[in-house]
Amino acid sequence: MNEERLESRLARPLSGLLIAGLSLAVMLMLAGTVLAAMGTDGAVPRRSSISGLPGALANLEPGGFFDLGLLVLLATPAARVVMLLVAFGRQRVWVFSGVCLVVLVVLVLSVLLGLRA
Amino acid sequence: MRPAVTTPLRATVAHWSRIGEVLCSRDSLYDMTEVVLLTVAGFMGGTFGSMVGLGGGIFVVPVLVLFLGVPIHGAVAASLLAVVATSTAGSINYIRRGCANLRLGASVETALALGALTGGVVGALLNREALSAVFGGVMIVVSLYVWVRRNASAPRPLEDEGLGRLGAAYYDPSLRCEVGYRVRRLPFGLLLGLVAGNVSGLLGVGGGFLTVPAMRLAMGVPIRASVATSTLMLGVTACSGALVYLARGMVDPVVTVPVVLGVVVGASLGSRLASRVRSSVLAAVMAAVLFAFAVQMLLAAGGISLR
Repeated sequence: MNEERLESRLARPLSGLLIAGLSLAVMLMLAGTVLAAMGTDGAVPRRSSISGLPGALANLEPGGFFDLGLLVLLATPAARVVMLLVAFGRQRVWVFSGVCLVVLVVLVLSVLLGLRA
Repeated sequence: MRPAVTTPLRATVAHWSRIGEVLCSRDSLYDMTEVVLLTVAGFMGGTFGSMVGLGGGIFVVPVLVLFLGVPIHGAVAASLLAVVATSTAGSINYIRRGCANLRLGASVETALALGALTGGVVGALLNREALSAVFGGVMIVVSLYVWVRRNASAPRPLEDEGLGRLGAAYYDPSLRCEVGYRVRRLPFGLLLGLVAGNVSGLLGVGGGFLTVPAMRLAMGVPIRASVATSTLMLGVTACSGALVYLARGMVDPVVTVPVVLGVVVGASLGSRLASRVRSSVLAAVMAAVLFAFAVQMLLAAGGISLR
């Protein structure tokens, strides 16, 4: 398939992915804001680990919803790159599939370097 | 010695200045008044930023630092997350309309993300004064850029030619014709992308003020496609920088969430208002405001506060 035609076919699923990711992130952040406003002590402790997130969400802690909302927000552009990687790969457009893979590697490196810095 | 004069305005400003210190403490207290102020800061940054074609970051960071007393690293981290949100929101329409070039975007994203990664690492390591000084310097450049470009004329359609592997065509409603273009000087564009990504990761700004002219002037991409592709790319760029701050524990959700929500709503409103306000007047005002912020940031870096 022509690469430009592939792009136009991808427009609908890509925009759908971005809408879903952004909507979910905003809803989670709004939910956290409402929970914080309803709380009595007003304390929103920071979550520093992913492992503490399920517990915070189960206990309806605002901080858990804030963190998950921000993580979903950050994951949305990364998911868009993954979708492009798969789409280009399925059509055997290896050059652009490889380019998307490089972008994902840089994103993973960002986390690793941030943790080590 | 004369006693300090406490006016209501001075007391209010002093109260605002303490908000950042409170919010960025380990166990932040959630005060709705403070949250509203942060949301308003994000909203205004998003509105004015999108009205002049810049991301909200270039306004959000100085407002958080100078008026709400948020530490600059926390402000940069919040701004990066806000850029991810505005880029995602803005990309949806551009992708649907076929203006964003996904192949070109993915190619330049490699350089942008790499630049943002290094910028994020350097920014997180710089002390507050040095980061404020760099931010002030870049803001002066941006204010001059906005001022010079305030009367920029509408672009002309390019001649349709062989589009090459990265080129594309899209329908331009203002010109009422299909505009085709071929991407030129990709290596130079990648180099500029590396610089733009570095500035974005270092300072928490979108970097669109660098990527759009780079794609337009250096790579021969028409303005509409440049803006659309740049908007798409900046999400990944800011994501790369934000991940560094997140991994280093510099993202404070209590500061970031209201700013992100405010910027998303503000950017949406700003894009609608932009067509109703004379752009040259708006750009001149914005250039002046940015310049004033830049001077304040530079003075703050030197330990001098005008407040």
